[in-house]
Amino acid sequence: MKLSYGQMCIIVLIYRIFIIMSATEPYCAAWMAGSALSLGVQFLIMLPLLSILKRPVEFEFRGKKNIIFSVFFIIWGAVTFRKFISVMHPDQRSSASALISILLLAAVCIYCSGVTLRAAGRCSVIVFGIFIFSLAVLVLGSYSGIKADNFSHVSDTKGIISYAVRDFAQSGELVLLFILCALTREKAAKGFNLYFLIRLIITQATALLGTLVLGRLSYHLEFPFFGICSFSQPFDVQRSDALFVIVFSMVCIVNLTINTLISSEILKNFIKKPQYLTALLMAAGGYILYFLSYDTIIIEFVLVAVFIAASYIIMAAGTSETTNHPEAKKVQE
Amino acid sequence: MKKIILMLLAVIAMFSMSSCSDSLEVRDRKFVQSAGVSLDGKKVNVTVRVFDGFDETVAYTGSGKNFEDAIDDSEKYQGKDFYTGHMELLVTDKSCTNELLSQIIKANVSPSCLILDNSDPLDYVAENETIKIVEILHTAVRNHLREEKTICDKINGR
Amino acid sequence: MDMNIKLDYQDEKLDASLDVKLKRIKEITQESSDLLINDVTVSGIKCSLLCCEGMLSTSTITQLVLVPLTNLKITCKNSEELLEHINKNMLLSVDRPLADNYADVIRLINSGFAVLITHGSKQALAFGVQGYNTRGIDEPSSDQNVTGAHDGFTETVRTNMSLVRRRMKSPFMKFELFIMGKKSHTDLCLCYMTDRVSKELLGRIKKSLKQIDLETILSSGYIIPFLEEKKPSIFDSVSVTERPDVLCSKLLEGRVALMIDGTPFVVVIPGLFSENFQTMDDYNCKPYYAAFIRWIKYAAFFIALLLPGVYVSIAVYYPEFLNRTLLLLLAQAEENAPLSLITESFIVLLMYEIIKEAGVRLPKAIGGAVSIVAGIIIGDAAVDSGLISTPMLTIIAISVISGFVVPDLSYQITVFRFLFLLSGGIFGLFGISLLGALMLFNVCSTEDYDYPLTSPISPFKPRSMRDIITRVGFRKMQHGNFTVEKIK
Repeated sequence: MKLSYGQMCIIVLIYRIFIIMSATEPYCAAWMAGSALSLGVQFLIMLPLLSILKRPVEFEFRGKKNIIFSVFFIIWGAVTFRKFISVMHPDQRSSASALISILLLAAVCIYCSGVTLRAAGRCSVIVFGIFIFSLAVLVLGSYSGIKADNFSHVSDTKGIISYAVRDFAQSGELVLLFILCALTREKAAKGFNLYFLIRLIITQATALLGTLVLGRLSYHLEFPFFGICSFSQPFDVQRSDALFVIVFSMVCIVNLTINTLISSEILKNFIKKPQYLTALLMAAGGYILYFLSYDTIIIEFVLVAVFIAASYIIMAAGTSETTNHPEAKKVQE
Repeated sequence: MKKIILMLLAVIAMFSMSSCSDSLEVRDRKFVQSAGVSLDGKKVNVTVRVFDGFDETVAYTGSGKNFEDAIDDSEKYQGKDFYTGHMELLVTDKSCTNELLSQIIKANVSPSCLILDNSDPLDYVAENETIKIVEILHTAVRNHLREEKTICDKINGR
Repeated sequence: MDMNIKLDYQDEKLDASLDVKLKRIKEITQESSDLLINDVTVSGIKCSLLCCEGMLSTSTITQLVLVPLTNLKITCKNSEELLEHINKNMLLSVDRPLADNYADVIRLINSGFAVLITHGSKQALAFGVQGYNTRGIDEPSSDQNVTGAHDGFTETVRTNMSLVRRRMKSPFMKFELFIMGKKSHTDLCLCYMTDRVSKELLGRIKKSLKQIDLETILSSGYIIPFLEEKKPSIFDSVSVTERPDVLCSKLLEGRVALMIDGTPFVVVIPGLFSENFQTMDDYNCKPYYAAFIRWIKYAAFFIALLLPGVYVSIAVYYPEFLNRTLLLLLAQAEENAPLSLITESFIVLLMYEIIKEAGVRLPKAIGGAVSIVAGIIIGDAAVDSGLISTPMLTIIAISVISGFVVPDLSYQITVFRFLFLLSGGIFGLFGISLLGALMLFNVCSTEDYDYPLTSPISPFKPRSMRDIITRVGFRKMQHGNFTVEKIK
């Protein structure tokens, strides 16, 4: 087994955690219902992957058709960069600071993408552990701020479908699930089910907490997750949302590193030192998107839908040769 | 060898960039303890009290087209930046809308900041030592004489 | 197992003539003043007893070798018979290697053996009568503890072997002596439990050692880079210990130890990151206390590494994190400070490192005076003059003291504390998380001989976590039979 099912599940969850933390949608009953609905639909869409994996095929990094995955990860990386910079520099006036942040992030990703996928998996496990710990601190710290009647202020269920569409548009990790399931092979189904279950729990728990703590306030906050953090006061500090910046940054770095790692491994056959090109393309794309003021949710929805379909076609066609290239083996290890 | 040179250059660059950031030192800031806010048509008027030692505050006034501009206006004549992240009390009147509260939150004020209603918030903050008022409010909440009311509660209609 | 020693005279066999042999040995040793040659006639055959001054015990050689040899009166046809008789029938010493080439003879002489060469024989017989002055078994300087044993390894590899053998009387405890270093001919010893160690691990370690082409091996630091991966890593993936009890516990887990003559530090392969927080004292007290101390160490590591950087970044970028009293204290302290927070903290940290290095290098007599001058006078004067604020000095002091709790990681803490300070001061908590991520990826990718450094935390092995999160009691541990293979 090249990647354990636990590591596979956690790597994909890290992507979802980034989405949860950078979400701009307000916490409300409609959002909770919409994301649950979207998760159900995604689970059903991804189920055929498990039957494909029962066939004796192996994922080959160097195949030409896998360039599609590389293109997707570069685009998704740019979207991730954009989201990260929007959280760190919500004021678009600070373009110089945003540029420095993007360049630093890209440099770190280039360095970190030199590790194997297994090492990245280990790192993901540790970062996931840090996130769960900070979530526990968040819950305990904001316990005193929970007011049950806040839920009634946001219990309107109008717009469930709109929230479901938005959730689907942000589910780029499903494309990653194709590759990781193929690398995990034997216990992929276990990891697959575990991912959807944990994702449901974390998403709904965060949304419920946000609803009970913030109520209507989340409509006024740009990033409601950090709004909950500002209510969390575990040790009589004034506000502890600053510490969640650390968790958020680390989640983002793991996210982008895996994007860079996988896409550069695919492009290694065609370009020398592809990690530089990949990271810089993602960074440049993210910086450009940062200045776009319109909502790109429809484009993201189409992107995710198209690439899931493309991934199915590639996986179903399969490869007849097993992966014997030593470089590919190094990444898979 | 190349990598070592690059790393050394990076460390030297970090040293030289230490004064390039747009951050402010603690001594270049004054921390806002409380603010009285009132809407006058489209203009926002504020009176802020900033810490001057442990137990004292000094009042400044200002106005602008939004809360942030009003704060910038109030700090004009005393040479240091006002930092609103530590604000403990917000005094408002009936003119205060959710939109104004939204601006206040965007200006880095904590949503758990206490809020007090008063017919003349600007004079109230200008004339009263609000450190004592915050302590009185906290004591009243602890002794169940009063419900705690924060910006978040106001937005939620409590 | 001799490793890679190419000597000019290595393949040169001994001559039969005593005079030729003596002449050649004098040539090779450049007639070094510490070479002692004693000519003696034993049973009518001309012999010479060669030894190195200061390397052997005079009383031992006199009693065990000189007196019996000079009193020996047997009839021998030739020198071979004489040597055979002395070797097999007299048992003048426990260790009696035979040598048939000049390289072995020189090595034995320089190792403290007394070597007997005879006229007419192409062999030499050595007697193990070493008696060079060695440091006595002392408490280890680095791995201190309270309730455990107080003996530590010394610079002599054979003494160290005996310290381990005293604790591990099992026949599966194996020592493999070999020589390395083209000029130094240093004695090294591989130790492992044959029923626990992985054959693959042992084979790979031996292969790594074969690639070493050093002229001299003076300490464990010479060998460690060859045992680790070529890729640069922040933390060591092999561990080093000065304690025999710690070494025995690691050998029981299927690890391999490498003892080096001339240094009391034994290298253990593979090492895990979590071991830096474990001491022998943990296993001599109640599990609840051991668990408490472990968690103190984990917290101390992060405080030592991150506190100055996090403090500066919060004070400059996120003052809302501090409560009102703390913030006002800080503001008051920094009101008249001439330097920025990052510069102030950098200077204080640098001064501390200079004082620490001075304290380590100075003779003990002056060391006390340095502490007074540096700590009290400079520190006090700097605060009174307003150059440095009291909160900053307190933060740095807490960080520094926390670093002492985990001495095995002191080098990494020292360097990375500066880097975290710089990145936190310039880029805020974002900078700290960037550097933290870099460190995390480096640690997670460190994997020597397929044993990840971060195991058993990641890859997560629940059973092995019982000695990480807490210290499970011996009643449970006795059924564990934990080996490093389980965390691979």
